[in-house]
Amino acid sequence: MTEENKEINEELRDVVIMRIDAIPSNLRLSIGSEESLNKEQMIYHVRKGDETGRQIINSHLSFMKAIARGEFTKALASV
Amino acid sequence: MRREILITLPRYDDVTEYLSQFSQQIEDSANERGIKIKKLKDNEAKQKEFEKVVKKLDCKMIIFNGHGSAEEIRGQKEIIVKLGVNDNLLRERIVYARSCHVAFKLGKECTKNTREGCFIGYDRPFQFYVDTQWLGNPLKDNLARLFLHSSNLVPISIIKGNSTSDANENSKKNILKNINKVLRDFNAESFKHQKSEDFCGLKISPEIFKIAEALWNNYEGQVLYGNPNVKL
Repeated sequence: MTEENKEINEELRDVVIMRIDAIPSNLRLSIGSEESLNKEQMIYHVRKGDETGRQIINSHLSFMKAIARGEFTKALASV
Repeated sequence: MRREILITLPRYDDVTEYLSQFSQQIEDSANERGIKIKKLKDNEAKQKEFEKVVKKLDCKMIIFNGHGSAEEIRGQKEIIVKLGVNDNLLRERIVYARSCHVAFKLGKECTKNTREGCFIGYDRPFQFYVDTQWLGNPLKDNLARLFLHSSNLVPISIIKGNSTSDANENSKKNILKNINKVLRDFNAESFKHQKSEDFCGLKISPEIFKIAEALWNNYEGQVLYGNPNVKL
């Protein structure tokens, strides 16, 4: 992995953690093959970079790409 | 093949508890239409029982709730369907799997060269948020309802006589409507103590962003393989 890619990945990870940290503590997310996760557990997995952490980051990335490409607003406008 | 439904309802953690409880809506829909629905609840949702019931009842539609991966669907703490082992049991049936990743491999494989088979599921983790104040009474959890009612629309639309393609589209449209709902109904004024951000021209709170992201994940990840025109 190039230094630039590593920096981008770390930045992305930090953004994802920041977003998770801002949500209320009464929310839990079901993602993957485990029990649901509270925000501390989500952040743990993202920091660890394990399968669950990658799934959380990928979900964020897919969402941001859909917004950037206009797919998200186009889909919402269709209903 | 009988015009009946088989549904798995494992319950051993909060995720499976939510999936199984919210499946009541599917059962009610089947009962309203006079379509027999066989439930495999708790310890019945295991491989041996599942295989026995599938072979005996030969139901046209199977609904899976539970954890999963690209090659397997889990029931009550164990694998009940695995690619290359017993996925043949799903062939030529209508299958809806509310399990993570299953569509990515297993769903595709079990509908190859099919005539009447269709698989609707997710090619990535199926996500939903829950509000912990309702962990003891999931059906009162309006946050989880946003996710699970939309996904229920897949089997419910099929039960109501729609094709698998229309059922998939109905469900996905409902996800988009729910995204619109959360973006518009949750006013940042209600969360004055929290940060808000501009998002697509609206002011939203942080959790609204994450809820919309998870709903979008399910929208993008919900896929159909096999015959899109088959009906129950």
